[in-house]
Amino acid sequence: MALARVLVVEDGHEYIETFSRFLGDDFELVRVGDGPSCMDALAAANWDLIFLDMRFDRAERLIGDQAALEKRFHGDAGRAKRYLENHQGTYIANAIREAGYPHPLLFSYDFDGEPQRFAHLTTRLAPISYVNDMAGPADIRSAILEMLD
Amino acid sequence: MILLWFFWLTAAQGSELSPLVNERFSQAVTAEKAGDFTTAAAQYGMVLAVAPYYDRAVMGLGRSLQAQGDVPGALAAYERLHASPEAIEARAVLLENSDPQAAADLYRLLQTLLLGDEWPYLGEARALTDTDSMAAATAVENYLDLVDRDPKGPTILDVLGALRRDDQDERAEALMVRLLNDWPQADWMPEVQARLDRLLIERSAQDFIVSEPEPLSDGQRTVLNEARLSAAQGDTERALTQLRLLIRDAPRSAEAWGTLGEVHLQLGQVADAEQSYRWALAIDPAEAVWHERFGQLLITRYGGKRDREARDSLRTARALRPSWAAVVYALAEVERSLRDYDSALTAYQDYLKMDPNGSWSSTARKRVADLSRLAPPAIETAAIDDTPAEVPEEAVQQYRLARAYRSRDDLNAAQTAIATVLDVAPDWTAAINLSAAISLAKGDGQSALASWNRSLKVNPNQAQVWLAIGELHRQKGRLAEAEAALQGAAQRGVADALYLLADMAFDSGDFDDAERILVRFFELSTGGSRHAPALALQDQVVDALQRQKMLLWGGGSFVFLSILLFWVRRLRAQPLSTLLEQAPGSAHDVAMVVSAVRHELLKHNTTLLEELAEALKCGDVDAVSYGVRRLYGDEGAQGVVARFDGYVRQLRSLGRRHGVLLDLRNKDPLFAPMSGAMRKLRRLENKLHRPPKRSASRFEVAEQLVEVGKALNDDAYHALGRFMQQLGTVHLSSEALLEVEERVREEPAFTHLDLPLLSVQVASEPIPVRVFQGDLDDIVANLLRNAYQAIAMNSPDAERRIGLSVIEQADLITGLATVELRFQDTAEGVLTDAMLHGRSIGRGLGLTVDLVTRHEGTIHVESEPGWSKAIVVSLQRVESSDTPVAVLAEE
Repeated sequence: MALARVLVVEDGHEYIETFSRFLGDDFELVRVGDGPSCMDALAAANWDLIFLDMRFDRAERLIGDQAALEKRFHGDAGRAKRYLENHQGTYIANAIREAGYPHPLLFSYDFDGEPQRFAHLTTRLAPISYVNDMAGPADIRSAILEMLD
Repeated sequence: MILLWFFWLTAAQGSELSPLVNERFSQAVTAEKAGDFTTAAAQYGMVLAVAPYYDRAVMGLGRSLQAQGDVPGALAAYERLHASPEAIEARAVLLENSDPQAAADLYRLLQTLLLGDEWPYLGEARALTDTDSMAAATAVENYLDLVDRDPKGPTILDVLGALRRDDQDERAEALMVRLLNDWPQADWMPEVQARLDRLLIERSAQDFIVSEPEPLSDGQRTVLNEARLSAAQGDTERALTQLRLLIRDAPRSAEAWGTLGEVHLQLGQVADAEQSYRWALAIDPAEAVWHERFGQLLITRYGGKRDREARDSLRTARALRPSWAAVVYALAEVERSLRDYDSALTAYQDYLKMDPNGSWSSTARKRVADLSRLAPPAIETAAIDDTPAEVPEEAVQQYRLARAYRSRDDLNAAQTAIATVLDVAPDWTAAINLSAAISLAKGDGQSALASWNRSLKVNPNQAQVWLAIGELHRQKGRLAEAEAALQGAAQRGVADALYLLADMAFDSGDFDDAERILVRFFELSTGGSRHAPALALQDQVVDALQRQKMLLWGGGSFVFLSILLFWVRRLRAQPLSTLLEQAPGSAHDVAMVVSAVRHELLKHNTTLLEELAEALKCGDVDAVSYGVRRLYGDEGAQGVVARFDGYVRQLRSLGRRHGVLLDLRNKDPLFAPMSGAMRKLRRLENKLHRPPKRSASRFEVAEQLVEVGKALNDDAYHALGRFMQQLGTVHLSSEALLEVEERVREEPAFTHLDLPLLSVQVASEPIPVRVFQGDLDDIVANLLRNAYQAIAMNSPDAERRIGLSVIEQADLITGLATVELRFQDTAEGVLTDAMLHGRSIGRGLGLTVDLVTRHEGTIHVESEPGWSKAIVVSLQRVESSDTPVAVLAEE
């Protein structure tokens, strides 16, 4: 039986290293480093689940309207970029849904402290779930399997 | 000779004389042995009256007369035995000083009588050294032809000196070359070599000299004086340079060479100094000063081994300048050290005549007195002869024989003799002890010990035997046995044993004991060889005790102060909350560090602990190694534990900057549990680097990892989250906003103004907002000030209004909720975003923009229906984590 294919979207390699070591027998794992790459990967292949990091401060390319944000932040381009970086996971998720991809999205973000925000995102981006910051590989395995059921 | 005499003395008893004469002879021997030479001479005389050629009596008479200073009498006595080698030798020895030629003749007679014996030739050489050096040299060469072991040095060295004195350098050189070639290993050959070197360099110098030493010119003398001044001022290197240049300019200046030697000597360059002096001597051998300098160098820098050469040099110096008292004294000293007491005595006396009040006159007088002192008559030991009555006479004689052999270092003969004694008198302690001493001298410590123990069984009250046993044990490193034996000696009143016990106590670091024992030593000691060492040891003990006390005091004080300081710091130290209370401005920095701990350390790393524990249980070495690198670092990269310590240090440093001493590891409810968990991780490091082979042990480590994981991933992580939330969350309410407004209105700038009351509307209070309380207060206060000033200046009295409405918003994409604080007023005039962010405003608004930006908020100007404008501050709304996620999601 073919393994479920999980696209890991992160700006570093922490997750893919850990997953490869601890979840490599359970899933087929592929990593991309930014939102545009994620969109390319979605266009190029089928995926069973997309694992999304939230913060992308090491990515060279970001999804989002930088100009609008600069205006919001009174021309502060740095702050606009920082805002995009800090919330890039939601921007990527938004882009995925806008592109019409229905894949389950699993955020790596602690929404435990922001239930209203998560509820807001759920109404727009479902099916989504999250693993909090302290989730270990076993928790993540469970979360993925739960979303794939 | 004395030993031989002793042997004969003891052997003579019981010879073939009539009983009466035999008794006389015995009395003579006893008197001589006791040092009563007058009686001895009389008794020997009476024996000789009956038996005029009884050789032992003749020799005894000669010795007795000689001992009384009656040289002619002694010679006459010895002459009775004109064919006896022993008597001839005695006469020769007596005549060596007074009639060297007669002595030499007698030695020649002995050479004939004792054909093949080498020592008469040496005697002849000794006799002729001062009067006929060439004949003495011939005698030495004959002696060397016959000697079959290392030749004896003193006489030969004297002969060499005499040859040099008599300008018989070639003969001296030949003799020295022969000595060096044939007996290079003899211990006095270095002196021969040195003398040969000196002879050769002097000969070389003779070739060098073609005229009288050249006097220095005025300029050269100036240089010499400058060099001397440099040396006197301690600049010896400069002096050396100046002198070398001078010698290049004036190579035949003995003065320059000699001064160079003095400077070399100052620098401790003995060989260079010696060479320089030799050049000075070679250039100007008639100058006494260089001989004196050279002699002093040999005396002071060769530890006595070149004293004979030094004596020659000093004798030359004296001959060249007879009035030089210091040289005479130095000569006396070196003669004395060479044991030529007659010459030394003469020299001391000469010195005192020349300089009776000189620097060394006191010492010289004492030397003269000492060297002139005659030995007192021996005590009558016969009266205290304690030979046990039960010991047979035969044993006593053998015992004496053994002692005589022992004194001559003929240990085998001594041992044979004492064995005979012990066969006859096995319990005679004196013999047993002598046997022990002989065994020890032969290097057989075990036998010596056995003998002494046997002796103590016969008579345990032998303090010196206890002492000897103790010393032997100590030498062998058997300290317990040594201590027991020395205690035995000490109990019997031997002070030396106490000294040794004290020394042992000192060596073992028991200074108190050493001090106590030394007190007993000084109570018992009345002098002796141990007294001075004991005084020195006492000084050492006192020093050690003082050091020990200082160390104890110092160590104790240090420990006490350290503990005190630790507790003071511990008691004074505060948790993080105190820092935030006392220095609210630190909140931002605190938040950054705490956020980093939570995000960088806990989130990305410690979540692995559970998997690491599983890997450990399964023996997955790679996985364990991976986790270990994350935790403890690898190849210069810091691990979690070290980075945690770094963050703690950052916070403590932050606290110090604000004057708050933080104790995060013990007092802070947030960091203390994390610190404990990190400590556990630190303790597990070795076991994780090298996992136990036994699965039970690995499981145990794994369980501890799980426990640490829970502490960090569950407890600490959530605690940090709550802390962050509390730290950066303000519950916005109308009441709080009005309190700020009230404070602003009470400020001096506004108290005299007729200002409208603030109208506040909060949608659903309290609203949690992500901002620090102090910052929010400043933001609100600044904007209110700005509004009051504006309406005071630009708003008609009837229209003056000011309002603040708080509403909630949400970002469509990110879902982030925000809170808008809309500061409304009726003031006329223009305020745009560009003005607000371009800083073309008052200082208060500029600060407000900074504060809002710091909290990731925004601030802008909007038109507002019913108002002139609104300044809108947007801050992030904080969600309550108390609300279950599922419920909210459903909502």
